[in-house]
Amino acid sequence: MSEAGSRRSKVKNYGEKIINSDKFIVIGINLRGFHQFLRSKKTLGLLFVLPAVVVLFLVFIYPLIYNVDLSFNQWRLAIGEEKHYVGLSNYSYNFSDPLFQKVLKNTLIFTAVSVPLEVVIGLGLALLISRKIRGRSIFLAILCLPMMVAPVIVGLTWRWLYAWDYGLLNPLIGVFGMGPTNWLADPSIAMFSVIVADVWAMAPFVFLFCYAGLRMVPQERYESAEIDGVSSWQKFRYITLPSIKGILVIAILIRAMDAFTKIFDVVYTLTGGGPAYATEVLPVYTYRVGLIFFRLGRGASIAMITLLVTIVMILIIRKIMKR
Amino acid sequence: MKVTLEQVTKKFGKTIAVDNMNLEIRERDFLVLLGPSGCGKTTTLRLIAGLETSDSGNIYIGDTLVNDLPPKDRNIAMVFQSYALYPYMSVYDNIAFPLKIRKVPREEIRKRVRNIAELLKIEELLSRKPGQLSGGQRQRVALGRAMVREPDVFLMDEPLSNLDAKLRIHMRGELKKMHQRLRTTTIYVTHDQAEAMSMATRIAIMDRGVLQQVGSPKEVYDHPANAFVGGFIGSPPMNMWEGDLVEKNGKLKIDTSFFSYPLPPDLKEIAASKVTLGVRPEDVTIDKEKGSNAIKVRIDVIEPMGRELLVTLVSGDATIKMITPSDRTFRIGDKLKIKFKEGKLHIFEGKPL
Ligand SMILES: Nc1ncnc2c1ncn2[C@@H]1O[C@H](COP(=O)(O)OP(=O)(O)OP(=O)(O)O)[C@@H](O)[C@H]1O
Ligand SMILES: [Mg+2]
Repeated sequence: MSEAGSRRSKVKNYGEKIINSDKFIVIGINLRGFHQFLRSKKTLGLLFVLPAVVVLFLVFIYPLIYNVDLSFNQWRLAIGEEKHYVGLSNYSYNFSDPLFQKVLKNTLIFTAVSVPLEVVIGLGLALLISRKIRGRSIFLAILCLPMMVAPVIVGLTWRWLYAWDYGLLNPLIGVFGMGPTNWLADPSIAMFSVIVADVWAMAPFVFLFCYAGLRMVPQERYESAEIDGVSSWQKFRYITLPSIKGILVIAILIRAMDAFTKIFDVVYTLTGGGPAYATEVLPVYTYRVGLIFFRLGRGASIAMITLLVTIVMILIIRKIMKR
Repeated sequence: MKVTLEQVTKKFGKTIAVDNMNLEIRERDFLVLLGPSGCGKTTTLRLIAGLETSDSGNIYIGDTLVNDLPPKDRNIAMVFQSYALYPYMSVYDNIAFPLKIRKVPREEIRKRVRNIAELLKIEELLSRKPGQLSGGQRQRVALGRAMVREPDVFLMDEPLSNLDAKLRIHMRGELKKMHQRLRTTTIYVTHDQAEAMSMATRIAIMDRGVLQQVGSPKEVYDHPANAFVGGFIGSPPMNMWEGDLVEKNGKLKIDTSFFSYPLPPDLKEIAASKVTLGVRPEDVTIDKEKGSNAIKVRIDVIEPMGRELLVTLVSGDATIKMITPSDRTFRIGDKLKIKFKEGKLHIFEGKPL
């Protein structure tokens, strides 16, 4: 009480001293109010996050809301149509469309095969490299190389490797007495070829995560276990895996999201989604429907479905990894 | 179980971490490996554990030569400085882990973990994760994990150094009690001489990879083998001056650049003439007689330490620390005469540290 009182009287004194210039008094009082406004933790905190919120709203929230709205409308730009509300019909059309079903299935298969492969290969490589081996830094550099290549180049490189006539792969399997294969044009093989290219490009990502994780496991954990007499498998099962689990989960989540929602360049340059939609995946299909056929409403609905499936997928992965 | 090191040497590149070490740790000893940082204590312990292999020499546990035995077959247990608990396992699972690996039946595991938990008073913590424990509790869990297997030898690498001073002193007592109860041969590493003095049945002092002296706390305190041991053990440290041994008219004395002091005749066997005179602060006394032996000094600093005073005296450029009962009043600047208690002089060959 007394402190508040003395503070008030101090302010009054201050006011009296400069009373001959009323401009100053006005400024002084305003500044004080503003200062107190700033001093409150809540407002200050809000002020700090405000720019981020604004940016987030402009580049994420607003487009998302706009997209939700768009997905309930029909708007075929190619025939100069006006945007008009059609309710859930875009969604119902998608689910009854055999092509969409095929694309959704393709994308799920792609994700379900490529991500576990990347995890197994990435983790395996990390386990190998993290041992005390000669020339570790060279192996590290080589293993990280695919990650530094732009995805479009990955697609083009593999397209060249897979080529029927001038590719590298067919002569290579010829050595083992196998006939040339139509890696990209055979509908039953094309998806496999795309997955191989993607695993080649993205396993290093998982590798790096795991390698970093392994480096952080305190050595004493292994030494203590060594005294207890663990086998190599037990070491992996009881120390390595639980020690890097957190990092592994993050790597898997990122990879699963990327595989499901962002696999574009490699497929687009490698097969263009062909042959006969055998490798068409959701991101490519969304692009095709929305920006090539200009069916904006339906494209938006496909994007929404992708988002929802991704969320469900993440929840499932997290549930599994919680154990 | 006794542990014997025979001419054990371990090098890391050019550093000799352990230099031709001969050490016998007797059955039921609580042997403290003591020395300054980097002197090779941890390396010695890891050699015994089998986590490092020696470059030469033999290590025996009991009568078994263990040079080529992997750690798991040495029947030792180690407590790491960082405890090395598994943060993702409960306290129960951490303690049970060594048994689980050795395929001990589940019922037996439960019984033994319960017993250990009771002994260490951590029963109510068993379902927690290490991250939810205090430092002292974690330390006890690490101890429990080492004890549960009932090993022949305990190896402990500075297990108390992560605890605050009060808890450290408390845990010293606990560990000592535990040893008195279990009687398991224990090798305990520390760089804290007070810890070593209070816990050890025997102390082994190392410096730069070389074993300096082994003996009971009293032996190493009363009869340090060299200037290093003399200076390392005891707090505040021993006073040391470089000097020359001089014999005159059959009487032995030491000449330092600050004073000259007569020595008892039984110190004659020292061959070198350049020596170091060491006197512990509590062996410095005030000389009230008008003897010629006395060293004239002036009081420079007075530090009360409860029942005693630590007085820093100066004589020329030399400083002398003295511990004296605080019943006398001193003033800074007072002039005094001091002498050293008989039989408490230490003469070491070579220079002081
Ligand atoms: N793995 C290693 N590689 C190279 N040098 C090592 C290694 N381990 C220990 N050393 C060296 O060996 C010497 C002894 O190390 P050690 O860890 O045994 O010391 P310490 O007495 O335990 O010290 P501290 O009290 O600091 O723990 C040091 O000079 C150290 O640098
Ligand atoms: Mg050490």
